[in-house]
Amino acid sequence: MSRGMMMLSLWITVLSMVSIGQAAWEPPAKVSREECVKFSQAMQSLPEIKVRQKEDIFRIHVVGMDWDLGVMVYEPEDVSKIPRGADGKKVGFFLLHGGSGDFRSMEKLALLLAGRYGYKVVSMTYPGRLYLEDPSRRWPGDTINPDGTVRTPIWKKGERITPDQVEVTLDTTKRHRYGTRTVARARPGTIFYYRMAGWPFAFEEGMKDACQRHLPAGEYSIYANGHSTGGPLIHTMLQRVSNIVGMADVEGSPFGFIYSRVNEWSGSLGKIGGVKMEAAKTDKDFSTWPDPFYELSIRSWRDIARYSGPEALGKEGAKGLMRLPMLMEEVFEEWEGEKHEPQFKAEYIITRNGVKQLREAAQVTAKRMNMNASDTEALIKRFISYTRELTGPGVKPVPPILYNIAKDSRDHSPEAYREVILPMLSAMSPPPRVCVVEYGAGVHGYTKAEKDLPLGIAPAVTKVWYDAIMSGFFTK
Amino acid sequence: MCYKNIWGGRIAFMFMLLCLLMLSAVPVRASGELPSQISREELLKTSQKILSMPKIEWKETEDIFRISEVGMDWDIGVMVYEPKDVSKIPAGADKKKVGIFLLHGGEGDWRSMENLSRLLIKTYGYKVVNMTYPGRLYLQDPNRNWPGDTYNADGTARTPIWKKDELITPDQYKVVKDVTQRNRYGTRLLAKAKKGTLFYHRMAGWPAAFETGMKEACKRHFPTNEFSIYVHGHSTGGPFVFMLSQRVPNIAGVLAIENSPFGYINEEKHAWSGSLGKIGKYERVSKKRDTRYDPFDELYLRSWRDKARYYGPELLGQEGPKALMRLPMVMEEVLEDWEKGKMEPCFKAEYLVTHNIIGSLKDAAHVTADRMGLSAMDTYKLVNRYVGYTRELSGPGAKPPSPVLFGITKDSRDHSPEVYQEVILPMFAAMNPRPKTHLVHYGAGVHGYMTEEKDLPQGVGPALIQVWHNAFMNGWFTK
Repeated sequence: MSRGMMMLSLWITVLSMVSIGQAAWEPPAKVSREECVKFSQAMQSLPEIKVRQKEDIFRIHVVGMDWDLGVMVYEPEDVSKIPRGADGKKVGFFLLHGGSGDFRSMEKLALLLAGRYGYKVVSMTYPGRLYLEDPSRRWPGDTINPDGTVRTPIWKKGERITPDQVEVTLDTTKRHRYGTRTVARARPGTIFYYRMAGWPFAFEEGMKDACQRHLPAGEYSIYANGHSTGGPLIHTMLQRVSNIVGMADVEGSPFGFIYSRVNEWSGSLGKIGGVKMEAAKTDKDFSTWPDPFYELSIRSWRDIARYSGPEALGKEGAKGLMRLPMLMEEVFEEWEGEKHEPQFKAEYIITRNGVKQLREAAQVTAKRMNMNASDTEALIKRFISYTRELTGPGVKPVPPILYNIAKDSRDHSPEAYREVILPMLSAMSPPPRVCVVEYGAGVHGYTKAEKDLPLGIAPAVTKVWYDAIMSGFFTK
Repeated sequence: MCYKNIWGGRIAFMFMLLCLLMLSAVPVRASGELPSQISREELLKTSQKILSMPKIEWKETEDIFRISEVGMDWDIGVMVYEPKDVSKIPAGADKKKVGIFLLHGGEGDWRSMENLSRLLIKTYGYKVVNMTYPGRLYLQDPNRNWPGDTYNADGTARTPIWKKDELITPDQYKVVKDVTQRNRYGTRLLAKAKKGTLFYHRMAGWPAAFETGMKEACKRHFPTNEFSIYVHGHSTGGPFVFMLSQRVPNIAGVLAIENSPFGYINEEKHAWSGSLGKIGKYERVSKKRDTRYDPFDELYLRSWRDKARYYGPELLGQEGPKALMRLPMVMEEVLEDWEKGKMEPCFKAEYLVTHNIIGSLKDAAHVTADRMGLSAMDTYKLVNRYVGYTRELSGPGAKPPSPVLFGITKDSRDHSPEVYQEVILPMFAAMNPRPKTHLVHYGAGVHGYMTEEKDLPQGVGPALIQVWHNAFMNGWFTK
């Protein structure tokens, strides 16, 4: 038997490890570390499908402004090879990155999905996050400069936010989770201010447009995925794009109104293994986001540390503190390696149910556009709706959701799902089909390499997704 | 020099009150024996009592003196604390005045021991001599604050000043990185002396200057017939005061709170935990022996990492592993602490003595002997002298090891009760003659035992000086 045939048969064996042929496939409740290693090894040893990768930058005009949006599209060179799911439609994935990055944060997953399974993948960058000034998309320098200026979004090519539009302040009200936050406040009346008020609308329209351009209804069933901060944003799409058939999640946060309850439940410091932190008495409660819509959070090494610390707790326990100098060096090194990503964030108002701020953002936008009372009210309603499911007659129900959670993820503990997220989803009318798969390895950044898992738990997660897609978990 | 006069003329009344309070403070046991454990509750009570006692007026004087050793001049500095009225220095059970000789830890200079010195002088009126290691005093400025940082963007580093106005120039060293001990230290930066330079020869000669400087400081300020001296060296200072304890005739005992032992015992202490230590109920994270081989010509440049290597384990003891859940804030605390402390010397060359690196001590002695053109016999003697710094003196004519009153705090990575029971105390018991020892375990505090914590504004300092006082007065050291 040739090496290629051997690999193929190995892959077929792996794909059939979870019984996709059964009448009623159910996702496994748990995937052990050993199984993760097995999937990873099998996947690594397979030949790759040749993938074509193309960036698509398109401009939309919403709320009276132009917005340049970018997606990276991955598909097999031979597009006829894109597989079809149980519903007979081609499989398309729509991906959104997390709170720190752009499409590059999702590249490992995108290449895994396109290069191993042959799916078409559209990986979108949030409005303003793409460094439109350079084709490499690498943001230059650091987020906070020695002269006190900070990195700001580029929502439209050639339009830069000038320092006079920004007031930089320090926030220590959430220090236990974030350390000292550097925030850039937009001065009222500036472009920055209006962009900060208008981006939620542009985000919605941009995602819808991206799906329509690359994963048209009738040809594709779309499986949506948003990592972390991308989770609540992708949840808003589940009912707004007709051919999104489900959410193939991993480490994505839920709808904003649910995620704020999760943070209330965990005191915003999360939970790792048996350790649940009480809310810090000196910190402000920020389970529902308290800060204004015109505040942009500027990330730093602290945002690496707020994941590295809990992850070290889960993986090493006490040892993490006994080697604190090295742990700190690892944080600084990781930051050095990632600071070319956007590393700023405005999305808390959606992801943490900032209804008050969304209302204000809509009002500011309406006023700028001279809207009448009725249009203003419609805009407010639209903005506020981004934090929860749509309801009422004629509304598309929330499609099936398959959550996948890593072992050491502070904000995605099994208990948070059992005690908060699943009950809130089951209270919806109609309740969506929801399952949670727990993995015996991995961290919030689920493609992160660890011993015997060069792509983290991603190979195992994508295998579960494959089974779900092919067995009709999402579509039957 | 500064003078403190806090209580004006009511001295007699205050003295009586002081005596009453001294007798009523918590760690005093009816039997006069020293406690083995002092709970946090007892520490709080003792702290309140000691800190509310009337204060004795005192004066502080810096004494910079020059010694000549191994053919070079060395400027040594001590800060001396004594009652304004020196006749008030109390006598211990042996009728000799109580003098305390202090050495700071691996990071600092005399200022690291200032809180303890002042607590001792104003509470009990002992005379205190607080010495700085050779080269650590910033002799170029009377405020002694080292300027800038330990390592600069242009590749230059902070280096010792062993003699006023003699500055080590950048051409005398190369800065190198060491990642071989990353679990404990992170990445270490080292200024490696170039052969034949002044820096190189100072790095080879300082051990002899350290010995002579300490002996000279005791002679200048604690005359043999007048004082019994009790020595204490915090952390890295510990092996040096142990070494001194048999070389100065009127040293009566060692006050070993968070004080590392003789170099050869300290080496075993670190080997016990793979140099990572142990905290409270948490298992040792390593048991793998991790022997050090630092050459004598390498100067360790400290950074925020050295704050972190204590702060991490201390948080483990105080908050448990869950402190990792607030890592961004923890890191900010480390960096803030470093910013505040970096005017201290923050460099270190003393591993050869503290970790019993015999090969490097021999190398240093040989380099010094070569420079001085010593004969084979004198070279042999110098090598033996250097090697002798890491363990107790023994044999005919050697002063027996002094009694040692050990003390350990609750959350100190390198000073766990287990390492004392399993390594340190058995090795002291094996000495010939065997010194008297006692271990007090304090139910609070960290390695920097004067560090403020909730309800303990001076850490465990007040309780430990109470224990020391009882030991002096009950004759634990001298009877």
